[in-house]
Amino acid sequence: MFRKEQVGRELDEELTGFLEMATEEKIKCGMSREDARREVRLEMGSLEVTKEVVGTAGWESFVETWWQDLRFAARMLRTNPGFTTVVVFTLALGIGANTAIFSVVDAVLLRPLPYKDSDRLVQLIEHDQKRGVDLDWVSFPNFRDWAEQSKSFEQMAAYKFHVLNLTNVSQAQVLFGLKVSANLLPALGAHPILGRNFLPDEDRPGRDHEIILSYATWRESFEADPQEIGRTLTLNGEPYTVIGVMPPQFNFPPKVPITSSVPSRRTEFLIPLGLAFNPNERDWNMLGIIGRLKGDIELEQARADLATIARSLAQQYPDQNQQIQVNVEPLLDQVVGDVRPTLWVFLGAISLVLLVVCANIANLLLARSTIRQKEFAVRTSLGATRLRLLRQLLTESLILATAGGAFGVVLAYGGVVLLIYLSPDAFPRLRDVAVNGRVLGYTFFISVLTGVIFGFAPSWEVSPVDLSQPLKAQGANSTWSAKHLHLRSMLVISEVALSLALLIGAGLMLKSFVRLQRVDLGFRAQNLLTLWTVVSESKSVPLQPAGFYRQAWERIQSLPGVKAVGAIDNLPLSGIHGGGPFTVQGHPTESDVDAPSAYRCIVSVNYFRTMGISFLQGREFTERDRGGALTVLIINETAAQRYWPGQNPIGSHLSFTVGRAQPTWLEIVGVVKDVLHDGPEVAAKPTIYMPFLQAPQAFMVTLVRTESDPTLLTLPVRGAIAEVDKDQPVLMTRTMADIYTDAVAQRRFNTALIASFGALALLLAMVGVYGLMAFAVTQRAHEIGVRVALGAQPWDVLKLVLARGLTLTFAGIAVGLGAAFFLTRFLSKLLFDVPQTDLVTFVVVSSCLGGIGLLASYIPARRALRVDPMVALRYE
Amino acid sequence: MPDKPGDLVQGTLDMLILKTVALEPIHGYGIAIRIEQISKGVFKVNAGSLFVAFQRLQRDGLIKSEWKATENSRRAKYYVITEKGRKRLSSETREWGKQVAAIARILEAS
Repeated sequence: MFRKEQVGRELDEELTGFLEMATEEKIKCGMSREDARREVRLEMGSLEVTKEVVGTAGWESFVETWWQDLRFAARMLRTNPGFTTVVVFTLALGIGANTAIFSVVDAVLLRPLPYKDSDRLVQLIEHDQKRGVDLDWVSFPNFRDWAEQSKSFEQMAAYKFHVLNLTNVSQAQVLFGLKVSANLLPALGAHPILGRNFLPDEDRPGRDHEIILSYATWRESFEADPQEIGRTLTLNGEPYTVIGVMPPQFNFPPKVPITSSVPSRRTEFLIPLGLAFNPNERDWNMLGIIGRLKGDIELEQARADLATIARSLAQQYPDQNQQIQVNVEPLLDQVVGDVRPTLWVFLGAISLVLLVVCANIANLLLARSTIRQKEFAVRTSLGATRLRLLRQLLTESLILATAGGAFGVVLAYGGVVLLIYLSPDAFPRLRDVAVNGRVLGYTFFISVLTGVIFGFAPSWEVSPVDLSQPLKAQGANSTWSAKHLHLRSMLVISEVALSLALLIGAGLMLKSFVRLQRVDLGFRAQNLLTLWTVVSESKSVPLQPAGFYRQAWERIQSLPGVKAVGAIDNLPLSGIHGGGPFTVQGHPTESDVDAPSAYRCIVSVNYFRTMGISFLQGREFTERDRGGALTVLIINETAAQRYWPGQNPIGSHLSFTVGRAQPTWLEIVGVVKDVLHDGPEVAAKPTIYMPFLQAPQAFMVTLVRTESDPTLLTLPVRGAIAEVDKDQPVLMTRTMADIYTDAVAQRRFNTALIASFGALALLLAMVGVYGLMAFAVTQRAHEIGVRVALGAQPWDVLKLVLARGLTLTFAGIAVGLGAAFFLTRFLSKLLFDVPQTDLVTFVVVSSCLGGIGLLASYIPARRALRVDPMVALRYE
Repeated sequence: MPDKPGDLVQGTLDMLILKTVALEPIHGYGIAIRIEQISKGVFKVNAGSLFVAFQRLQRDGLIKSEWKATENSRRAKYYVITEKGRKRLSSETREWGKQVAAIARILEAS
């Protein structure tokens, strides 16, 4: 590059020499020195032009010119630090936010699952055609038939969530994990880093007392001791031999489904499934099934294969398998299918914000190009070609874009941390989010793209340069500024339109969120503490569940500050539910498939009072509803209306036995109001409540209604449990308010994200409106001065500016409304109880934007009022 | 075709420069004057195209340059033809001869 300068200097010297020699020659012929010089100059043309021509001639000079452009651009940007800072910061914001969202899309949707050849892995679930629902869990007999009859799979493996109480250690603790078939790890292509996998032989009842620990559990609970292999642990009171430890990055299943009966945590252990085959359990759906496709088998072939098997099973076992299909989906789809549309909406929305950023910066560059018009004219008249000027401008844009991209990456790192922090726990794969090579590639791509987009505007304007105009023009440069203003107006209109579309989206989501919060859940979530326990199933534990819970609830009830104590197995909003078909007395059904079905919950005596669920009819459960007495039930409103329409269900009977078997009749003694078990967005399901005393079980969630802040009772309540049995671990204690927050976390997150995108776009658009109006006022200061001098009133001046600002805003709103009308359809899945073209939202958001637009043009309008006619005229 | 007499036929400038430089080392102005003189004023060389041509020829290794003092003891860049330049000149001259002969035949034929 030094060479370039040297060449330039030599060329200078050579040309000067040339000039002088020519002049001397002329003088020799008798001309005067001045005449000779003028003659030579006329003959030669401008030296500078010659230099430009010579300079741009060669291929190698391209790189040199580019370098020159680059340095020149850097110099231009350095001399204008305010402008550069604003542009780079705005860009960094846009590109950074975009990068952060893309890194989430990348980690969640694009990256393969962390298993060997994970694209060959599929999840198999059942689909109940009659009820139109997916059944995520499969019965053991069905799984065995699939595995034996299908020809499409290298492996088909099963797993089941499981909870173990670890005792005989200093601190009793609960472990969450999986029961797995022996071929699950081979199917995933995973191996323990220490020890070995289960042997096929160990996956049988009675031989299933081996355990493989997760890396985290091994490290945290067993101090990463390699000697742990071969040791015996007491789990649920039974001995288990540690045979292996998984690698740190291993996690399965990749997403804990919301319907699992464990709270969302990483898998802490694996033990063998050890199931005995029982042909009568074909309707006991409890296993998750994955498969690894054989090398040459396509997904469609596997689907056809399973469809054939499902048809033959439906014929063989019509009672349980009629109209049951098998869905074979790539495992990745199964994991991220729910959030895929949401994430694409996020990426779409943030790209709109980036477009607003581009428009904004194009606008700023245009404003600056008015100042530089003269510079370009001078360079053109000195022989720079138009191409050269365009290149110069584009170089500047690209420098800005690259700088913005670089800072954007820094912001993206922060953004990713923030996103992970704010995002709901249940969001799959979010732990894997990172700014990686692909993300950086994307950032580079959008940086260059934005650079070209916003660099295009001033380039376009500079193209048809009329040299004389900017050189001559001093104040009244109205000839080109009309086109200039037009271009900038278009940009501002698109900014307003885009931000309106985003804001309407945000408005719809906010309204959905407000609606959601107003939904009556059917119980009072405030001042309610939940306490999760599983009484060990083993015989060696002294107390049976009924005895344990009776003592525990009595002790908790006697704690100060406790108003009521109740308990339920399937806690509303927790994602846990269970249920099945039943028979209404007098309405026999042939099979499971035709039978009515309902959620089933086991509740303690005081459950409804503790939760604040009101009774419509009948009575509560009492201490007398215990084993040996008449078995009684309480149903909810929805069940009463659906299955006993127009009748009083009190005193009616139902049975959980379906089909030809001899039913055991249970009597309905009460009807309660509906509880929104699956969260505020899902309508209440028919639900049947059974008394704990007649169906005691190990897993219960105890509910404590408190007088004040429920968290204050966390320690006393845990203490009460320890007093009953010091070896009884507590899974967790959480307030019901927290559980509710979790249940709406995804929606809160979506809403907050889209709303902040909207706010960002709004801010940018308003800067755009303000900037253009301020520019217009400066441009028209002279005109305004003349008007004032001729007697225009302040209101007239105000009107002049405001009218223009409002025209822009309203044009933007009109376009934006059209865009929003089209774009909000992509949001429809994210809305709740709000139509995607909600008129109120459209009107309110548009008027707000109109108001803010008015404000943004009012400030420059005020400045126009202060134009002193004398100053304005003198300036001319 | 040149639209006014004295403009150079495209591509012939390089040949004229090579021819001029082949006679002796000579500076830029000298080349311009020599071309004008030899052609008896028919060709007038524009300084811009001349210097572009110098750059091009140097880059192709047909001529090289060095700074020397002129007869008026001024520093000037002298251009010297290279071996490659000589070869090119002779081949171009042959080619040129052929072309001129061909054009002449076409013109006579009409």
